[in-house]
This record gives sequence, C-alpha cells and structure tokens, in this order.
Amino acid sequence: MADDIAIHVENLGKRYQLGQQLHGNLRELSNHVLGAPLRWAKSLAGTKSAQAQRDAADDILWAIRNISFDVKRGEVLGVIGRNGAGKSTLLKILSRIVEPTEGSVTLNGRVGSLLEVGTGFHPELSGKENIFLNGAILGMTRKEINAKLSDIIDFAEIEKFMDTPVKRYSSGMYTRLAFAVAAHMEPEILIVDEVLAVGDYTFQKKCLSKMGEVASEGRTVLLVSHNMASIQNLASTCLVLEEGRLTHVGPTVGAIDRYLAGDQTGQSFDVSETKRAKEDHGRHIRFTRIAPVPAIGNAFRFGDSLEFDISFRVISKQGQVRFGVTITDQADSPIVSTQTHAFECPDISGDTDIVSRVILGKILLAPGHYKLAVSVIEGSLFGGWTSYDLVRPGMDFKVENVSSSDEALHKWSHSSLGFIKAPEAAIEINVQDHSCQS
Amino acid sequence: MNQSVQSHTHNSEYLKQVIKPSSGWVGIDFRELWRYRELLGFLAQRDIKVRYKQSVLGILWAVIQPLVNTLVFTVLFGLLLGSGKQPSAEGTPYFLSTYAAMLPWGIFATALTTAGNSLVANANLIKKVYFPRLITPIVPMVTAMIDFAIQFVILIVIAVGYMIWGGYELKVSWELLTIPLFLLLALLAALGVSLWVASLNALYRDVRFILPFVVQIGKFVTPVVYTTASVIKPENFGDRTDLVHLIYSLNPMVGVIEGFRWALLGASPFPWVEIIMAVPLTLLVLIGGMYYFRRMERIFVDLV
Repeated sequence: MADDIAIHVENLGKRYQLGQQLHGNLRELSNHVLGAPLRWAKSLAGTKSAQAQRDAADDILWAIRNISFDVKRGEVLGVIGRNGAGKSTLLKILSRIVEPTEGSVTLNGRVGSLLEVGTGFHPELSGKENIFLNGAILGMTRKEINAKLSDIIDFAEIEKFMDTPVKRYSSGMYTRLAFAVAAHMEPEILIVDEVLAVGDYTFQKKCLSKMGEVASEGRTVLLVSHNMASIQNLASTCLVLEEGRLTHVGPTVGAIDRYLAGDQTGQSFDVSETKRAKEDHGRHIRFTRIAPVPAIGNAFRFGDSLEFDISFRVISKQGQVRFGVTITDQADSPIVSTQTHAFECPDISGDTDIVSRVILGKILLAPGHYKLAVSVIEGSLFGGWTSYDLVRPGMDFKVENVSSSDEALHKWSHSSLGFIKAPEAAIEINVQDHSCQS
Repeated sequence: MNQSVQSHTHNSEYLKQVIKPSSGWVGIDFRELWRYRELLGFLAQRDIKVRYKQSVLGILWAVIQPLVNTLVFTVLFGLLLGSGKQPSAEGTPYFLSTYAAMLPWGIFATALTTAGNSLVANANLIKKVYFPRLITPIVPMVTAMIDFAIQFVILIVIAVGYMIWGGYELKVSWELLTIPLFLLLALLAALGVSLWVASLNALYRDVRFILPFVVQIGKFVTPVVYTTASVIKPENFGDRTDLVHLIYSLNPMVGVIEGFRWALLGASPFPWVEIIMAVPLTLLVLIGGMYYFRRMERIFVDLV
C-alpha cells in the first residue's frame, strides 16, 4: 500500500440475514448453548458448516458488497446514495462498529468517527463532565481534552452553564456542546455521518467551516450526507452507492449528477387508468402519461427550467384546447398555476399517444417535494372553461438543492418562507439628510 | 520531491489498523485494552457520579444496605437460636462475622448484576462508537471497588467498636494484607460470570429476569449469613462430609468469603479446600468468558 493512502478498502462486503430470530424460544436457547460443543465437533469433522448452510439460504441481504476504493491522505471524500444504499453500513464498518463479512479495510492513521453528536452524554452530568466523558468516548485523551477545554467551551458558547447538568440545557445548547467536543477531535482520519442536519443554521455553518479547516490541515475526511450543498462545499471526490454497490467514483459535481440520475423511481406516471374526479373527464381527451424532464433523473435542480412530457389521447376531436397546469404541495394545496396557449386539438384519434412537452420555465420552487396536476380545457383558466380531463392529485416530482453558493436555500423552510423564492429584490436607499432641512 | 520524502518518513509513524472479518475464537488484545484505560476510568466515574445524584443520603446507601441486612439476620437468628448462638466464625460476634461476609458478597452481587446488564445498558454507545467491548463489563468492577472501600471503613469502625465495648479482641496481623487478594478473586469471579451473562443477555433478555433471582439464591447458598463449618459438618452429612465440602466449594464465593473471614477476623483456619477449588475455577470461567464474549462481540451491535 502506498504511503499517501489513508484508507484502503478492498472488496468489502457485509451480509445480513433477514428475519433472523435470535432471541427465540427455549429450544433455540438450549441449541445455542448446549449445541456449541456439537457444532465445534462437527466443524472439526469437516461437516458442512453452519456458514455454508446460511449462504444457501435466500433470506440474506448484502447491505454492501464488492466495495473497493482508496482515499488519499488529506482528501475529503463524500459518500452519497439513497436511503438503504449502504452508506451507514460502510461507515459502521470503517468505524469498527460492525464487522465486515468479507474483504478488508486498512486505515493508516488515528481514526475518529462521528456517527452521532453527543454519544454517551449523560443528562445528570454537568456540561464540563460531559465534555470529558464524550471526549474520551470519541478517543481523546484526558490531556488533549484538558488542553482544549477552554476552546470547546468557547465554541459551544455556554460558559455560564458549564457546571449545570445537561438535562437542564435547551436542546440548542445541548447540540452546541456536543458539536463543540466533536469539532475538537484531531484524528488523522475523520469519519462523519449525517450529523450536520441538527442545530441552527449559523451554528451549522460554524461547524462546516471548522470541518473545512480540518480538511485543509491535511487530515483525511470521509463524509456521508444527504445534504448536497454541504457535500459540494467540502468534498472534492465522491463515491456513489446504489443498492450496496459502488457505482461511481469521481469529482463531486459528476458524482452528484450520477446520484440524481440514479433515482429512477416514479420517473413517469401512467395516468391512463387513474380514477378521475368527474365521470365525463377523460371521455373525449384523456391524459395517459406525465413525466418530468429534468436535466438528470427525477429531480429538478433548484433553478432548472421545469419541463414535463405530457402524453394524451384524443378519443373524439375537439376544437381549440389548452393545458392547465397546477403545481401543488404534498398535501395537494395549490402553489402556482398557469396554462399553455390554445392549440388545435390534433386529429389523431384512437390508441395513439400524443406526446407534448410543457415548459414552465424557471419557476424558483424551493427544494422539496411537489405534485404536478394537469388539465385539458376549452376556454381559459382565468376566464371560464370546461375541462375535458383533469389529473389531480398529480404526479410527484422534487426539486433538490445542489448549489452551494445560494446559502439562503440551505435551510429553506416551507412553513416559514413558502414555496417559491422570488428573484433577489432590488433595493433603493434614500438617505434623508435632516440637517439640511433645518 | 524533497517534500514527498519528508512525508514518507512522517507517514511511517501512522498507526496502522486493518479491519477484516474475524473467524472462530479470537484472542484478547490486552494492549488495546490498556490504551482505552482512560475511557474505562471516565465510564466508572460517570456511573459513580450518576448513581447517587438527587438522593439525599447519597453514598450512604452503599453502607446502609449491608448494615441493615446484617442487622436483620442477627436479630432473626438470635430469636431462632438464642443470642450468641448464631452461626458465626469462631470467637467472633455474629454481627461482625456476617457483616464481614456481606462486603465481598455485596461487591460480587452488585458487580455481577451491573456487568450482566452492561451491554444492554450501554447499547447507545456500542452502536455509535468503537471501543473494546470488554470495557463495559469491567467498569462495574471498578465501581464496586469504590463501594467496597466505603463499606470497609464502616467494617473497621464496627470492629473497633466491638473491641472497645464488646470485649472482642481484633487480631491485627499480616493476614490483613491478603484482603486485596480475596477482593481480587471476588471481582474476577464476578467478571468471569458477567462475561457469560452479558453475552447471553444480549441474545436472550430472559437473563435480565433470571439474574436477580440467581443472585438472591446465591446469597443463601454461599456462607454469608452463616459459616461453612456451621452447615457442612458430620452431623449433617456423616461420612460424605468431605465430598459435600468439596462440591460446596465449587462456588468460588465460598472461598472468597471464608478467606475474607480468615484474613480479617483471624478466627477460622485458612480455607484451603475452598481456595484450591475457587482459584482455578474462577480463572477457567473468566478465560472461557472472555473468549465467549469476544466471539459474540461481533454480533452484539445487531442485538442490543
């Protein structure tokens, strides 16, 4: 292994047995305890081992398999993937919490892993006592903690409460203290799970910059996150995990594209058989498919032009029609509506799908999940109309925040800020000089 | 170029760790355990600090329990057998003889109960951070020693009290110096059993219900409120007394308690049979327990 490699992972795999009932009944207990010498004797005799039998069973799940990669010293590597892709399993193996089933990991340097902030915090102990306890749990020595104690207290901004039991802390104080300890770990290799998702935004930023510092000091960082913005901020290279396999390794931007493209679920929505609200809907013109056309995958990036392919069939020809489009939230409340210009209903009846692309343009929808409801109408949504078909609730789609520059979107809250970010407002400042008037 | 050479020499100092699947029986990495001694200390400190938080009497509880326990048996046996006829070590007041046994039994019972539940109790740690899992059942051994130290002070006070007002003659001799050895034996026995219990507890939660029950029975199977000599005697077992004595001594706590009485009270002869049985048995259970624990360790995280 080359000297500049901090983490070397080779052919790593972790298998779980599904539905494994270990704490079962009395017979299992006695089998387990009393059967041990028997199993041992059998294994000596070379009988088919329990392991081999287990392999044959089909209720096994490889959480990750055939994972190989190297992390160079000083590199910040992001790990991205959907839920269940195996990120946590990989991290737990690297942190030595679970043992791999096959393969190996070589770590060159002192490892600190942070799968949770405040691990081992005890509510009855004071802030200071918890700093020492948590520090020791994270692998710091008493000497190190003593040396950094005042830094940690400053970072957490809770000097006054150092001798108060943490059970009396507000949740914000608690999180800040927990983070402060973690941020002062100085391992050569730092393994971090999705821990930045807690705490208020300013504090998060403080932690991110602290972590950026860590990386610039030449320490190796392995970071798992769902937050594409923080991944893009920190990581230079990313791994993409899909269903336990390593599908992509490369520069962060490309990896994020790959990650977004990997999400194929619900990419198009067959609405030909969906039940309509009104009986005569879909009798003359009927929608068959609605598919988002983002640059990549199912998710639009914030700021992308929102485009959809909408397919329909004409059962009996009508005159001038247009599409009405409404974007709703998950609860089906409308957010924004528009319509296309009127067009002549095509004279292609029968089983032929007519595909049309509806381009809504750059509606600045905040990151989140939405639905697209469509209707085909005669008249205008904003005047009077009759509708031939209406699909509502509509098709799910989402908008992801991948830009790292626009910090305002990092913690966009639908409940307090709404769903749409307007373009940056202009401002004119008038200084009124009262002294001149007098 | 120059720089790469520099980092070359620097890199050779990095700690190298290899993670791969273990198979079968794995040994114990004592060097690693030693590296984690500070964590052991912090966890023990936590348990001690937390235990008596928000209680008025605080650490006094460590003293009250064995005292009241001893008092109850002194009165009970006094009523049953007549005052002064309770089964105590030769030439020793029953209260003193029993309190002296309550201490090693107490630390054994507390250490065993706490350590037996330690994996489950520390599940949140085990799931989130690596440290040698063996630390969890060792921590209660440390905290038990603190309890013991406090109780021991009370024991000395009681003994001195008997000397002054009870006309009892406490023999201060070299034998007192062997007390730490019996304490160690008690802790090793507790640890040995705990390793099995803690591992099984992660698999089968029944253990949590069995354990207090076993400890309660154990107190009466072990010569705590009586002495070995008062029960294992020819009147009861005739020709088989020696055999029964041997079997009785399979319980390592018999050796610990009788040894403790010997060292402290100097009344009874040195319990050779008990100690000869206790030491190898304790070591056997302990070493077996360590290997079993290490073997089960890799699946704890999925079970607790």
